[in-house]
Amino acid sequence: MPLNSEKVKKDFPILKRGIIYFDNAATTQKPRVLAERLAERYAKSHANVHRGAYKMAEETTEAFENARQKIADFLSAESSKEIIFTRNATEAINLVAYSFGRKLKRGDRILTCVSEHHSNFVPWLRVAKERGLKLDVVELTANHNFNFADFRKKLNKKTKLVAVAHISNVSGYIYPVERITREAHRVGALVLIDGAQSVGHMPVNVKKIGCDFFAFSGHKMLGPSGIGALWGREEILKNMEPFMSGGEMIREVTLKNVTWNDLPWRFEAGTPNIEGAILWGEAIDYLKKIGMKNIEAYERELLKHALLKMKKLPFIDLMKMLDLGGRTGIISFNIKGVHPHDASTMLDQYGICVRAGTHCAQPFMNHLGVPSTLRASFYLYNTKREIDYFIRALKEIHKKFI
Amino acid sequence: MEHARNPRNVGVIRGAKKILAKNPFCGDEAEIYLKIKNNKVIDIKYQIQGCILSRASLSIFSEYIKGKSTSAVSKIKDEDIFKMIGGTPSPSRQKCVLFGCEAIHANLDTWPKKNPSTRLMTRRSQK
Repeated sequence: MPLNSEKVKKDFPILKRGIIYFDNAATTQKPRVLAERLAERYAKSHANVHRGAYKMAEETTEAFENARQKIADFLSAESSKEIIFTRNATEAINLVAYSFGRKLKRGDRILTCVSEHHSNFVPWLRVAKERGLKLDVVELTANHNFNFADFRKKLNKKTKLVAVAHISNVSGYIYPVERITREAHRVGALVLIDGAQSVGHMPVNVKKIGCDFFAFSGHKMLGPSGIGALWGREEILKNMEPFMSGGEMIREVTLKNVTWNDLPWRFEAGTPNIEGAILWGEAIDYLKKIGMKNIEAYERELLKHALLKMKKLPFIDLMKMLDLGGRTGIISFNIKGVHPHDASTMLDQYGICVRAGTHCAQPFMNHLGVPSTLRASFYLYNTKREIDYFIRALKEIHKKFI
Repeated sequence: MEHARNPRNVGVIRGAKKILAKNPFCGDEAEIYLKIKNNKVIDIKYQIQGCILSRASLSIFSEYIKGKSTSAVSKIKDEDIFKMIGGTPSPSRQKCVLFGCEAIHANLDTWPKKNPSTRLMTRRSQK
């Protein structure tokens, strides 16, 4: 059954504020059920996980580990052991940079892309500087999509890790992660995919992609903020040193020595975000009920609706990012002659929330040759009517400024 | 609005100290030229690529400080600048108003040292 956005909208109390929320690539709103479940949990069952031998502690641990299983299933992972809870996708990437990156030797190379979010760029820049590694950067095509030919050219036997986004948070383009992985494995490099913009917007199957690490976040897919995860192939995680140290991640500690816990807890020092994980699981249940294929198709419909209308406005600069296919509901653009921050403040007066700025992708902005852009990003509770209103607002704002 | 459309004091002063100001929030930039003699701001010119708020506020601020002593300029507070432009902007837009002025402030602190800091906005950026 196709997605009924008017019905979906009713599940999101915040939208009654009279806002049009087009900043979903930054974070998404939460369905009512999350607040209800949180109240329920705090009222009925809360304890620390993996410790107490009493009933309530066991209940909490079970709910927490259930959430891990839901997340593993959502990505079609082999086992829940491969899901490591973090604060967000950024921390998941940093975990790999720290635990895997530190094993790399002078002269080894890391390959990333000019369009990456800072979270999948700065950790590699840092580790490269610290370890004397070489950081190679894939350029983009003329319409700012992933340049596969350039990727192949820059990939070589020295490349130990390829780190790219599944979907660019600026262009919305879906990168060919399966092909990228195949090519990278051919030279023996591991592959990390930043899935912050993909999980929750399309079906994702890490086995099908074939990658080795996959980083993603709860709050970009209806879940709470402060919880994210790294999926990693078990045989690789098994041989990696822990990221942070403390409780939970150990097996045995003496005055002189320490041995590590099993996966995934080896990478989860300290009390985790228990409620965050459980509510993330609830968000996944909600998404599954609607169906990831439905969400993907609906988002594409919204993208098409918006992009076709925006293309017709001569004062809108889409910076050559005009593709309709192979893309999710993200549109970066500028109103000619209007600074993005002024435009976003004006749109706010219409109740429309869009992002203005560099989108944590300054190398991408430099590549586009603009200081910043506006960005509208859609999700399942947005409607074509909202987009029509947004188009009218753009026209009025342009008129006011010129 | 009028200042944003027709900003005052735009230009370059040859041989004067050049200050680079950047708003990391949006990537806006300004090049500010200050001429100071006997602890007095004799002339100021700048080139800016930025939004309405940043253009207008730098224009107003530059008019205001011309002729003033450096000690008077360094005493100007954020609130004074908001008053000059006619109101306090929302928190996310305050940087637009302040980043150019902050760059001037940061450099006055180290005046007349030979190499004033161009690392800007670290002092008051975390609010």
